[in-house]
Amino acid sequence: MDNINDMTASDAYDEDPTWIDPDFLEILVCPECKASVTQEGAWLVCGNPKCGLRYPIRDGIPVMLVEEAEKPHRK
Amino acid sequence: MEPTTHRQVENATAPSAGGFRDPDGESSHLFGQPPAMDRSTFDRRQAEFWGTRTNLRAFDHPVVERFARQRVEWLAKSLGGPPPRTALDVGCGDGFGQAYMQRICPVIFGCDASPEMLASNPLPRSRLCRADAYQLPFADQSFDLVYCWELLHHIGEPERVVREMARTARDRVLVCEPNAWNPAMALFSTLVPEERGALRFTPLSLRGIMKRAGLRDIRVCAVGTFTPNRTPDRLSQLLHRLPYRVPWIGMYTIGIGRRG
Repeated sequence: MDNINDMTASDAYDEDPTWIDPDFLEILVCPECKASVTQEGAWLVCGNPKCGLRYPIRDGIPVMLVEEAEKPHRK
Repeated sequence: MEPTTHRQVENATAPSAGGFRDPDGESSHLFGQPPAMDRSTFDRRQAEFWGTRTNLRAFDHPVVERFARQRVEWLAKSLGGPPPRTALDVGCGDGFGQAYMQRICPVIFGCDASPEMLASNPLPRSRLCRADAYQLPFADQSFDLVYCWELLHHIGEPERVVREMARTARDRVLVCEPNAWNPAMALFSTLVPEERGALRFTPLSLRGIMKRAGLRDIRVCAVGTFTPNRTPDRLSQLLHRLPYRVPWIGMYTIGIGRRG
């Protein structure tokens, strides 16, 4: 198997289970409106004020599913 | 204008007495006898299936490795253009495609709807996410190559998924699906309810799906002589020696296209 040791090597997740690779975060967008997202703790938050869906990070994996997203808290 | 959501499309697609129905009213099934369920029911049942499936061989099983290495070696020669630097595996599951595609592309991200499948994926979590293939959570033109291995036949509306794949690809889109023109594959797909969606896929139908999804320079080939999860080890060793490309009736059909 090519590079299997690299593949299974523990990454920064071992130290912080909410850690997201910055390169990965840069290309992630809200699946509903395609706006960019920013990380707020264990959540990825859609930057579009009209959408604002919040996607959880579970076990180090972003759950980018609209049906599992939280709606924004309205003031 | 509000974006059309998956659920809106599902609701707009009335269940057909004969099975799937395209938005333009044409049947998408090869033999005119599609599974007797609408697309949303099909997708829901597939999601339930992939949440409980435990009989898959691991990615490093010898038959899986033989299957994947043969495919990747062929792809390395057939993909064309400069080697991709980044790729997205749509429906990556337990990572059996990603594990071997690293020979072609050094950085591969993966997404899948099933948490159970992702839990057994050997890739670092920092390259994985849960996602709906109809609504990929990636910016336009994020990856040099966007590909799927045996995903679309588990999807109610494959053309929509290929369109999403084309949106996120900078250059090439690769699709690998079972080939219903292969007699053994057709029999297997008929007998196993969860695999019945494979009856929609042939070299001809795959080309049509990719073309309607807006891809260009499409090349489609029938390849392969054995499956990774069902073929006995000794039989796979014999079949592995046969030519990989089997015109028209190879077990799988592979399509390669460029973003339009």
